[in-house]
Amino acid sequence: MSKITSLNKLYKDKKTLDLFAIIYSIAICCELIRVRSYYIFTGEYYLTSVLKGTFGYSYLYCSLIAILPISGFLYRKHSHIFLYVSLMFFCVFKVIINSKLYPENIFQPYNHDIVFWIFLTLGLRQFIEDAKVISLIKFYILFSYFAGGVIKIKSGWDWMNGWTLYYYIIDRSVIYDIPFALGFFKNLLYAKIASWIAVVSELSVVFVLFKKSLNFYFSLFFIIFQIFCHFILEIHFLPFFIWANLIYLASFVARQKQSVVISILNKL
Amino acid sequence: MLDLKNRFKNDKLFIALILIQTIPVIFEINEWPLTNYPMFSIVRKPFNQIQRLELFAETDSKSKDLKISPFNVKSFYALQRYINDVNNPRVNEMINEKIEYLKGIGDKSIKKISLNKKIFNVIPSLQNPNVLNLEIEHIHVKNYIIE
Repeated sequence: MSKITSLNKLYKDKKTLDLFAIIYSIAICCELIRVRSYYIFTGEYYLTSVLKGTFGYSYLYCSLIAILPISGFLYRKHSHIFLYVSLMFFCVFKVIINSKLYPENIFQPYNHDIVFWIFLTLGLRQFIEDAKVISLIKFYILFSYFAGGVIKIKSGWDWMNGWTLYYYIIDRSVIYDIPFALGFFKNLLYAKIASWIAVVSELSVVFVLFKKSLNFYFSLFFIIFQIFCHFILEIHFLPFFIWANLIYLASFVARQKQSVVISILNKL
Repeated sequence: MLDLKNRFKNDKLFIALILIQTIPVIFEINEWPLTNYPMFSIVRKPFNQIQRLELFAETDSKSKDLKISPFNVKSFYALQRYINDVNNPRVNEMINEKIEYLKGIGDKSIKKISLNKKIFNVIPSLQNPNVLNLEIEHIHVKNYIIE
């Protein structure tokens, strides 16, 4: 009986990874297409190394876009393909690290870190068990949210005084037109409540490590949280970071016995 | 089909990977923020006013303001966002560097650079001291003309 359950678990992990590789690579491909003009311009400006002279940054970028969906579908049999993808992605996002001093790019290195890490861990599937690959990806997501909480309370409990959020909202609302946020958070009580919710939720992701049933609620909450931050507070962790949460969706789909997605996947 | 071959089960690699991925996150915790830009994580004490600086470049055709090249648009835009912090010591350095750059090797179509300084006052409302209002106190403009 235990053998059957362990076999089922192996199947489940395998399905999860296969499905996640496909949907994640397509999602990242779409993101790269969406921001292509900005990335290619900044890349070509900042890149003064060998890559620009010999290969051409825009070609590297376009080839990465082309390779991503193909590698997602080839991943079932040739898992090492994501090692090359991660190397290419590193070459692309290294450029943005060079331009890190500019605040419009400040979120991008942290977005790129997780994409690079996920491609790398997917590529190392040959050497690690599937369950451990999944746990590595999940651990990165949880740990980075937890770190976000720790950063905020690093210098005491003053971050939740409401003034921090109000300063940030003024700062952003002068540049962007976000009247809703400025109108809503000018009441310091609301600003305090929102700050406390952010910090408590970020610090409480530790419980997800110990209780797996919280996974779904965790991913749902943080998707809503990131959408809120993206559109109202102009904190752009949404574009690349949020797609990592698809692993929770993939594991949920893989758990279903009669799933349309899995049956399509088996026919490929 | 499920691959049930004896895989290279390397627990050491797994542990090493976990340790590796903790390094950048711990680095973030220690070193954040990595720039002087006023990030969200910097604690703000109660304040009375907030200062904002804007740098604009005027060209021959006014419709092409700030659209000199894709990079320049980004850099101007970045500068406008960068210097919102009053207490940031790098503000003046940044402005001077930028103006020198534009005077020297910048685009020839730039005729004038203007530096706008706005001050916003934060006033608590009389009915409810928790509610704050924002008023523009004054606007100071400084022009640099390039020949």
